[in-house]
Amino acid sequence: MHEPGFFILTALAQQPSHGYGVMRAVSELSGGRVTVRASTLYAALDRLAEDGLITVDREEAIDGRLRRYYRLTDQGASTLEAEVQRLRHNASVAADQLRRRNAVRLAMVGAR
Amino acid sequence: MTGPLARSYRILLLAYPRWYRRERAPEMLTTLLDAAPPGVRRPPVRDVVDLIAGGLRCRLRPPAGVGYRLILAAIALFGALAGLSAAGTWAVPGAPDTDEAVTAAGTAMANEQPHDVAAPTASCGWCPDWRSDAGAPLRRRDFVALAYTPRPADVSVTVQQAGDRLATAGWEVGPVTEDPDAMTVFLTATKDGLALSLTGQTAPVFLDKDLSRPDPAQRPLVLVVTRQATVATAIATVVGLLGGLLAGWLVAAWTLQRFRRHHRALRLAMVATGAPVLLVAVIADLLAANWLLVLTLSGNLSANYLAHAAALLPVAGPPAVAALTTVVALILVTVTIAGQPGPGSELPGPRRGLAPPGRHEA
Repeated sequence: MHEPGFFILTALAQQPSHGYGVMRAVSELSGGRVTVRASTLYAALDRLAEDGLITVDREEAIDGRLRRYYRLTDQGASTLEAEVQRLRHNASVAADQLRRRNAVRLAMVGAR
Repeated sequence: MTGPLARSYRILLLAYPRWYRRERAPEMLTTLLDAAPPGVRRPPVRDVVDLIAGGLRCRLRPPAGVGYRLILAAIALFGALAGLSAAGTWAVPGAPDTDEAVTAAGTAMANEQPHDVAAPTASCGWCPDWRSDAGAPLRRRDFVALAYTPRPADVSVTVQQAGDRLATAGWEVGPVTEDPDAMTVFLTATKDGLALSLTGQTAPVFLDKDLSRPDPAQRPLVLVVTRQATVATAIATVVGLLGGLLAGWLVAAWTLQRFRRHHRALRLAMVATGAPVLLVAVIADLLAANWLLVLTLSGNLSANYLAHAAALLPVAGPPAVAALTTVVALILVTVTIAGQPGPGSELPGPRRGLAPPGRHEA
């Protein structure tokens, strides 16, 4: 799963949100690293909806501005869950290997 | 949602196809305006680029699925071939004057008289109607060919001497090359936009299996004069190829997207009219691939050769007419119901079987 898609799902995990809300949430949740602009956002939303991971929650028209709110589907939630597990596993495996590398280095330094 | 910024964004959104705008434009416009800092009158450059790129991607992307992508590839490639042949037809220099050709040949062959000056002939091995047999209709004239009866001396020597004579007369002459597989020896020379090639056969044909009496007349020395491709030809060829590729891609993507959104009856009609077009396209693609393979293997990939061959690509006649008719029929069917999304619509929206959302007016 590529990063913008991951963060969009994450942004919608707690509660439904509209286009600009999702853009802001993605930026905040990724600590400013991942930003999506409007066209990329909607391309991603199209894809996620096609895969059944998100769906439209409701529409609101305020002052002539139409906002469509999206929410995570159950399938979307479980897909995100699975991705979290995968990333967690990857992270812990790498952390483990790094710990061993450091341990080896310490041992070598100590032996001199 | 008025104001210069909204107007600019609305114009940029035109990059997207109409069916997409119908669904998405109000929402996207809101998001773009929400995201714009207050007081800004013009969209930032990044947005401009993004929206145009996004719109193009939307127009060019086939529906998801390997089948759709294959069809798109076949049609896009066919478009490229059509563009290439159109450019070639327009930009190819054509056959040299017979006089020019005979003069050039005379320089090469000194006092030899050609025993046969073939009228300009077409060369297209797999084009069904194009034969260079006497009496067959000739549709294109791309080179002048002259045939000589070689003296029983070593053919390579004759060819070499011709090359020397041409070089003396100011031609740029390539080396005499022997092709042991084809049992030929040839050289090429160019001057003032003319290209000349001289080919001799090294394998003799013997009369009555009498090994002491080879018959040189059976294997004439062939001299072919063509006009060299110019820079204009090369540019036109590239432009035609890329333009045709893009046009084919756009048409195919548009048609497939429409197909996806039509309901079953129209889909059947589209398949019925589209299948012959696809067949013609695939056959043309395969023939072109074969031709390219032959060219590559024979080492004949000179710009001149390519330009001439590209101009010969259009297979005129009944197949093309049939294809054109079905294309027209296909277009009629695809636009019949202008953009009403059917159950195949892939956008999230009220039609996707949700409880109908209420529109709250705040």
